[in-house]
Amino acid sequence: MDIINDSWIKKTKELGITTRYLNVGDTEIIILYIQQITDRNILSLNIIKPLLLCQKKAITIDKVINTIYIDDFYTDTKEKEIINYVLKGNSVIIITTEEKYIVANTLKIEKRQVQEPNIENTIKGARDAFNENYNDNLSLIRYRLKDPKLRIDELTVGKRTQTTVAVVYIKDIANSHLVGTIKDKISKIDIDGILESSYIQKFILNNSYNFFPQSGIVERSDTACANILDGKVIILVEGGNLALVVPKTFIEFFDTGDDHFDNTFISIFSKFIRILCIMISLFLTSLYVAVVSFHSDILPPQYIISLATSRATVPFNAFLEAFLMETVAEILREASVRLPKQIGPAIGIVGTIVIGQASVSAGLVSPLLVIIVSLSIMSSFATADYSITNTIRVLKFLMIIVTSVFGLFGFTMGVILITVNLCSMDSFGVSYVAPLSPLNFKALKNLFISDVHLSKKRPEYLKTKDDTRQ
Amino acid sequence: MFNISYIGNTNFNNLYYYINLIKGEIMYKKIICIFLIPLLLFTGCWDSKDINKKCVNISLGIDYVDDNIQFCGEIVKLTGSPREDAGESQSSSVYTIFAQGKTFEEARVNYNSNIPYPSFLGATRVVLFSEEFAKRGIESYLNRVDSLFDYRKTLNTVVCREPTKECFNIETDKALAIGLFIENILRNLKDEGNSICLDVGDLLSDIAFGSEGYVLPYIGIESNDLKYLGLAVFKDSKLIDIIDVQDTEPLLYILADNTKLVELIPDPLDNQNKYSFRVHINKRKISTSLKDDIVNITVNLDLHAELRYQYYKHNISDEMIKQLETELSNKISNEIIDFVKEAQKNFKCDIFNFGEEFKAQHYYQYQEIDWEQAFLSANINANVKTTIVNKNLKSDDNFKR
Amino acid sequence: MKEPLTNKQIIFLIFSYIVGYGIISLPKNIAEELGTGGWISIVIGDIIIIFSAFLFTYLAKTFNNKTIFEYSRILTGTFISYCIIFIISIYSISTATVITKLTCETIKLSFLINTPIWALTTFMLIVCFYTLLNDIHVLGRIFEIFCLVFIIFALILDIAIFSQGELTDIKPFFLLDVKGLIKTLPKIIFPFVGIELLAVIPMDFKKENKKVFRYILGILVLIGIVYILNVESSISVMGVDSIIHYEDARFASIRRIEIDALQFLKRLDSIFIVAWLLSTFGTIVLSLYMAVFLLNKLFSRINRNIIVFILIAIVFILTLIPTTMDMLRQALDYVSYLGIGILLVMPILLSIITLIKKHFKKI
Repeated sequence: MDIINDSWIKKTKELGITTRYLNVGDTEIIILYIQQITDRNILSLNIIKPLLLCQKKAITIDKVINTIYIDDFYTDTKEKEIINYVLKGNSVIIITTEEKYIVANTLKIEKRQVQEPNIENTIKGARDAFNENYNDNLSLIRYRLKDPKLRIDELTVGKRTQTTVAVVYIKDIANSHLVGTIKDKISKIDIDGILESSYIQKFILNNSYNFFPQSGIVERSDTACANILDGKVIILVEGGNLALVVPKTFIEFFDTGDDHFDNTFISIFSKFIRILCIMISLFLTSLYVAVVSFHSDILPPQYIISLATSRATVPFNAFLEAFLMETVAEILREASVRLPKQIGPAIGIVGTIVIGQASVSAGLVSPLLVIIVSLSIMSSFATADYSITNTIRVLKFLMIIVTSVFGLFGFTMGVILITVNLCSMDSFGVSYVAPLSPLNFKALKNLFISDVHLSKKRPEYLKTKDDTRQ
Repeated sequence: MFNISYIGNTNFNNLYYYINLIKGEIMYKKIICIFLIPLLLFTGCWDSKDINKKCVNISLGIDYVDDNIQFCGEIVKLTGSPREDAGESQSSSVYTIFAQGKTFEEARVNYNSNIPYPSFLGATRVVLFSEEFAKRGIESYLNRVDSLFDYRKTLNTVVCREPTKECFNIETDKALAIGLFIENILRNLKDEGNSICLDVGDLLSDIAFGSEGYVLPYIGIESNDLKYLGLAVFKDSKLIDIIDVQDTEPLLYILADNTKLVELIPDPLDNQNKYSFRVHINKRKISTSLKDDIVNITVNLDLHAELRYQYYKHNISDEMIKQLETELSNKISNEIIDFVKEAQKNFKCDIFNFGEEFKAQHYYQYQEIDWEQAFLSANINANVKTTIVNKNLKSDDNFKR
Repeated sequence: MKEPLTNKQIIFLIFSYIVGYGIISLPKNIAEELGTGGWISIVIGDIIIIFSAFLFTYLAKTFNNKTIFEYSRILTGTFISYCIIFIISIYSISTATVITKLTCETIKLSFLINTPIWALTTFMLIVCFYTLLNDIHVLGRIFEIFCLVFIIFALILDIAIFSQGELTDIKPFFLLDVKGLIKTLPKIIFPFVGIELLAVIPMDFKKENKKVFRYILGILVLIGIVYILNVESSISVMGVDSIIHYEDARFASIRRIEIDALQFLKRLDSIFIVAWLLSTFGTIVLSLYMAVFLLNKLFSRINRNIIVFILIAIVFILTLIPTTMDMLRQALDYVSYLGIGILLVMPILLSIITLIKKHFKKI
């Protein structure tokens, strides 16, 4: 090995690489590793110990290979790659008389155990969620899908982070054009580091200015496997605990995995409730502003009177009242995300009682508006996939502003703008509002009556290779 | 355009980068919309006016006082104190405004000078015409209602005997405001089929159709309380006569919906006994024909009668039932024929909407004749068929002792 | 992947374009001419439109996957083809202008009384601009959704209004006045003007759109039914003699009823306003789309977005010209006459030329 000289050894010391010199027979063997990411037990017991006990004279690389007890290794000759291998967690065994060196996988990193999901909660389904460890996540998927056609293609992204990104799909179901496009786009990403799956989402979907998310987030492994079986592609990122699923259409944001194996009628009912929740969350406050400020005669007459009397003490007009109340609700929501556990319940009490009740007593807002705002906040959490909640929050404010200037005309135009935005998006070639348009009654029926027993084919808009389930 | 020596290299590169970006599709759309829409929106909200900053009228009254038109309005009192009613839904009370003027417009100007906020007419329930005003004609006011956008055309219309000022000054426990009280009375009557309530829209349609007569509910003050007194007859939108409550039954048979009237038939066998029936209309059809320039109008009624009770319990046989049915039919048909003949003689106008039926059935003939004259000499027939349906779970027939 | 337009999307585009501003004054126009027998004129208008749709479909089938831009050039040569494109573009821009201004004037007179008219038109045109930046397949998706919403709302409204109306007002059903019908024949076709959108939609008869004519037939019958229900329900509430005094007949008839049983939705105006705005928006956007499509093909070097921007600016400036409702209604009449010319005269002539050329085997 030519590279081993003083300056090189000094460099490895700067990088934090530990060097272990061994004398086996007459040959010097150097083992390079980084303490923080190496399993030192395996290193000591399975590599160093057998080498030290080896009494052979002329040590060649084959003899070393036959001595050490290691399951995953390979050999290489490129001297410049040695440091990269060590940085990835391998232990490099250099035999000074040989050209080749051995790269042994002794990776051990600190990780969280497989725990319950945080954003994708369920009552009946399985609860093993992805964690930040790449191998754990893949093991959860492989545990459920034992198909020989399951493909896990690995790509490396990020100049400095060298993160592994896995594209998981089933070869004879997923559309090959889709898979090819995804892999192509990921390999073109030129950035110094990616830390999370959302970085990938931003790059491959090119949707920085879009309101709605064009890919879904998956936290539970059984949901991920269901999506893979459907013909979709899952993207896992090393170090991120959420997987991306592409392509995802708007109506699929209302579909939880539970619906497929729960009572059919309950699942239809819950779907309608979820759609109603989105409507309430987006439109109810702006309808309040429209009715109070512009079109009061739409309500039944006895309600107009009680509405007027309940707003008698409010000093602002309806738009400002609604806007302020929604802003306060958003402040509470942001605050509660980052609360330490000891203060959590207290803030809940402060938020609801003090701000809600007291502002009504002080005469700052009308009681009806407090009900409406709290209802719209609660219903925004009712969607199956978390990514759409944030969009709804922003769009709600837009709707309030537009309605407060033009009344029902502005409300209708706002609805039109949102619909146009939805319809103009594509999620990897699949229309974002499929199967609502292009109208496909079978796929629509299967989405609503999403019983595993009844849906015999995969949705047509995904253009999968094999569309039979049963 | 730009002198490169003045601008540093990085600035110029940035500008170039942004121009290229702007030429791309996505940024173009977003820039236009992001800049134009807020520019438009923040110039001001022109029409937004909160409901609590308007005077919500519950009812309106029109009267003629000293040759002046008087507008009376009941407006909801919005309580301004939050402390005492915290947590409860606030109950409302009303205050009344009176304004006079020579014309509607002048009266409205005086009315507006009396109220703190702009007037909101969308919650008005009832419009009250005094007898004085009704005698001079309500058509002009109905056209005024038509032209105001937020004045709903589903208002109930009522005529009152006393001047409206007295009506609105009545203190009653029965409702929060006189307008609500009157509305509840009318709704109750209408649901039971005991009166004919027309709203402003119906009146406008009738006037446009050219039918000269219609009836409106008539109320009056009795012992410091409002009471439904009967129906007021209008010809050419002017009040000409009143029909008392007791005499309105035949009219209800012809015009009202959901009629459930009570008929009392004396027992042919026993002088003291009377049978009380509740009658409701199963089918009603008015057939008209024109023969030798005389209009024939037949009122066909198919009634179902329900025996409520007998004054003194007797055995009812099947023949008795048939006899009672014939008696009932005869009684009702005679009443109807008498009433219509009286309308022809006294009111001299068609308040029964027979003209619309005639037009619907014989369109071309309607265009040729003058319905007003033809009605006055029309032949009226009534064809009433009663069936006694159930006896209210009482088995009074053929007792076996 | 740009998917081609499916059959259902094509017919919903046609529905959105034809059903537009007219539904608010349709009862008045029909009742004026023929009274309670007016539904016959709707049926006759429907039949004429079906004939025109048949001609357009025949032309599209002969020239597979081509629009009027290409086949008019094949049939009549470049100069006349440019004339046709010019006429259609003028027609589209005028339709868009007149309908935008009419909608905004109606809104201003009804419920947004203090809002200046330029604010309403600007806002509406900005939304149209944003919509037009997308291509036809996106427009197909948008109007598929809006049409479903509109049809459901219209059905709900009609059922609700019928329940409050009286049958005597719409009798007699058969009032045949043949002379009157013939005299007002152009006016009968006015509600149906809009089938010329078929000229700019490329239809592929080999793959996707084989049975498109059946669908078109179905949707035109549906439009006829929607119109008849509209007219009859409005007349049943207000009566023929009353309804002819109201320009916004449909809106007035909705404000005349209250349905106690529905409790909170007692007064139905809001449903009508939303449905009507959706349908008017469809008309404006699709008429501008015709102009954008043809001009884009003509000036292929200019970026499509710039053409859209210029057209919207032209429409905005033109909306400032007519100031009163009477001027607008007259303008609407003139534009509809031009529309009848485009949807009847033009396809007849083009079909005759096609038949002649086919006979001589030039195609």
